[in-house]
Amino acid sequence: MEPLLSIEHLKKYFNTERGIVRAVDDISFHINRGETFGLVGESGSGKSTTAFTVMGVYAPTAGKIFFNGEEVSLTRVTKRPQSIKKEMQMVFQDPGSSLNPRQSIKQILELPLKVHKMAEGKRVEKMIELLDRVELPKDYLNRNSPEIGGGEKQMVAIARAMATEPSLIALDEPTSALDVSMQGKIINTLMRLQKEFNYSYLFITHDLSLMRNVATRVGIMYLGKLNEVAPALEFFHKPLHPYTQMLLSSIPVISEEEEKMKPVKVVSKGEIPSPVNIPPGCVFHTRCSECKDVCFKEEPVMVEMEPNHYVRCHKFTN
Amino acid sequence: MEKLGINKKSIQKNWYKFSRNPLSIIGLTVVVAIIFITLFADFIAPYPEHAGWYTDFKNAKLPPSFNHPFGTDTMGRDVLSRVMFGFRYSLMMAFVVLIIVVPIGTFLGLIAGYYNNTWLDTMIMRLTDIFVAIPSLVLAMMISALLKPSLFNAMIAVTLLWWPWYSRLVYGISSSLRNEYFIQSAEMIGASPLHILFREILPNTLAPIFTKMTLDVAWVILIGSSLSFIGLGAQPPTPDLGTMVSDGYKYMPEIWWVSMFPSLAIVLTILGFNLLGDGIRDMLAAEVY
Amino acid sequence: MEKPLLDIQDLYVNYKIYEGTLKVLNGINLKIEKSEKVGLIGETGCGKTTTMKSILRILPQPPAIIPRGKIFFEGENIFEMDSKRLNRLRRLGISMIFQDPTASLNPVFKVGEQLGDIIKYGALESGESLSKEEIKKRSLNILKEVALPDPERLLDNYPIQLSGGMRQRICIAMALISANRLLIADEPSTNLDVTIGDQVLRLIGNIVKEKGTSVILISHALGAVKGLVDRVIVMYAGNIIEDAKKDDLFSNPLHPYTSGLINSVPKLTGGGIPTGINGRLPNYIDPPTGCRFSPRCIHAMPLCRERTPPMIDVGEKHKVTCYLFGEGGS
Repeated sequence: MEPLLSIEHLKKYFNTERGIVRAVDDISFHINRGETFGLVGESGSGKSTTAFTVMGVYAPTAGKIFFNGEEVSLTRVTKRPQSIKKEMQMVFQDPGSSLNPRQSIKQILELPLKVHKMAEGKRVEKMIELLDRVELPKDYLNRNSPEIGGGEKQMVAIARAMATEPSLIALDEPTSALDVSMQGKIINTLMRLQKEFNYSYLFITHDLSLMRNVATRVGIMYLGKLNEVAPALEFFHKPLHPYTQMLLSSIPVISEEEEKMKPVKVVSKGEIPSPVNIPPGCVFHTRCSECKDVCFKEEPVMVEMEPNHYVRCHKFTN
Repeated sequence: MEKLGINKKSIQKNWYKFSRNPLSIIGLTVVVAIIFITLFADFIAPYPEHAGWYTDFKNAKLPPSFNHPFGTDTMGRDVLSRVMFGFRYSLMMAFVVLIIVVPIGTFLGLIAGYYNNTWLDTMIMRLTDIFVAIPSLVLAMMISALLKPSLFNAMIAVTLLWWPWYSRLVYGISSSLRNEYFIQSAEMIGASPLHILFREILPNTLAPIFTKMTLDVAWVILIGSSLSFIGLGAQPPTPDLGTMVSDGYKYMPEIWWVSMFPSLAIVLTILGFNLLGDGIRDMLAAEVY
Repeated sequence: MEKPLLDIQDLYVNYKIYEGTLKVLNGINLKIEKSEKVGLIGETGCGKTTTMKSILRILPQPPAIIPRGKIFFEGENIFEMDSKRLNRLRRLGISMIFQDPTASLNPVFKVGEQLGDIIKYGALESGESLSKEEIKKRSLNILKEVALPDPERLLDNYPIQLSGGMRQRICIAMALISANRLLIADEPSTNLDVTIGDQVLRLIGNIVKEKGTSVILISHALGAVKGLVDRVIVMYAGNIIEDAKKDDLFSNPLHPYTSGLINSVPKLTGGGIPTGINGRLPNYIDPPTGCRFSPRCIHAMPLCRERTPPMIDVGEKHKVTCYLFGEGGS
């Protein structure tokens, strides 16, 4: 079956006073219907920028984006057709600034319905149904956004994202700003709704333990490059790329069994290089303990090592 | 009212925040009193006819007494009545200036901020910069002198020099909000720029605008009075406070009441609006908890 | 027996706001010894930062009110110290690292100036007056101690020119200059990447081992705390509800909230997303009578809603505030 979203050689560069920042530098991946594609990486990796570029917050610098087989123009979201806008929505990291502090929940939820021309009489019913999906009572419609808690704000943001019945929802660190006890509720709600409405998720988080339990397939980014993509289980049990191994070995875990599962401790060396000064050759070579001569000069290419398990590293290319 | 989120509970809470500082209450009282005087000057002034053409040289230059609590001026007119009418002109100037300046400045600031880093932004904000760069009183004098000196022309002058401050204020807020997630979300949903400007960004600018407006009343009155003082504003016999100060300063210090009471009236007005503005700022300030 | 380094006794803290009085801290009792490394876990709003700020007396009063409680540091009551003594304490004894390194550094001063100020005033407190060269030398030393590369150049940089991890390490350096006896680290690695945060925590661990400083490491993430500390304290809604050695707590959590919290964390080994704990933090203006966790607790008994349970000793330095483990006082 054709993938819902297909990204080919996507690039997003920013011009700054200090030089060109190659936030997303030639990445390709796809998302199938009903699956959760996870993107992990540290700050500066480009994972959030990727989501923002796909969703049109930024206009892509180069590359191709295919949605449902149709090519999406390389412009900001404001210039895309309504039919595409309706299908792709996003939930952001900070619930506080995701909702207009001067608006009521009713106004916030009504906007997508109004824009996509739902009849006025039917809107309230739909809004109550949306709140019900995220298990919020209907009297929340009359509340103002600063009055409700962070977890509830995020639920409203999710309800809003679903208002246009999209097929793809991008979620950028949806629970990072919240406590762990709220996280379970929100993620479980997302998973339940995904099953019910067959949503595809582009899920971004730095919390690898969380990713392990939500993603179908996972990709890891570093300094704008996609280094490894694999189905979730394989990604966590048999990571191939040295950076993946480094990241997995640093995760703070509680139980012994988790500790045993982690790859052997790779102490992370040094700082992440400045994005204006990206190292030549393989971008990771400055921190890699298995760096060879070729890594300084040539960029590795993505190869399929196991079915559906791709990796970009000179260890695996001859 | 419910749409704006105003209900009994929020009024009580806002009053609490406002009234925590007793000075705000003083400011409010002063302003309410001044507005009352402005509205009802015709009825409460002891000698309302003295506000216009009136001469009575027999009773000129009388010191403060029971009949004339503020004394009489060089033409024999009751200073107290003239001061009461004087508030009217001051407030009127502030009202007219602000009612023109605030919408225009806000609108320009909104679009310059939303479309920031484009030619629209540059055009609007550099125009703003030009007006801001000229010292306000000098600009006002220039404009007033080019046109015939009158209260109306003084208002034009002050209007022209005031609008940039609002566009700057709103530009700052608009351009920083522009990148907030709720604006990105509105764009992703497909909301029109008009909706985003007026329904998403504007409500977040109202609190600072309102606070500034209150404090600006004081400033406009001061500038207006300054213009009148040097003869470029209201002309005689208009009982403008600044003109009255100007009329009387030659006779200082012997006939001090002719200048002193209008001056005090100006000071009181400015102080009142400043204290009120501080109180409004406290009321609209975001809470820590 | 030696006096504990820090002894918080029966601390209550309220905040007065428009809607009423938030009764946040509900009787905190905590003792920390010299060279002890303690983790303080609790969700946002449970009162951990309030407690820590009370120790340093940096709570804004009003709106904070401290109706009851004493805090003893090395035997002296902090609340009774005059400002001179308090300053001395803050300059030489206790220090705090805050969660957001960007907000902790003054953006308009160079790193060297900020470090230099701390060194200068710390030394003055001890009666020493230092020359510029001496201050610079000590600044460089402390930067080397926190493993920052190229310290000379760093002194000349503004905070904005540095990455989050570097800023946090500078904050640690600043705290270490003055924290000789107690270091309070409030979520030091939360805003940082996993690998850098890991480095930062290791760094804190190494330094306190060398200097014998006690540490209170605050976090809402359980895993972060585990690597560094020996003892873990769990707070909920203004009470300390469990206090145990690290391994004991994670392998045998007693309080229902603690076990709920540990079970809420998704596991790297899989198993889906746990449901978390039902309910929310109580309203501090009108908190529940008795145990503040009782509305959410599946084991709640009538007794729990009558009186706040006392802290009960269940042996092996493991304390729990829960009637499930007894009724008597300890």
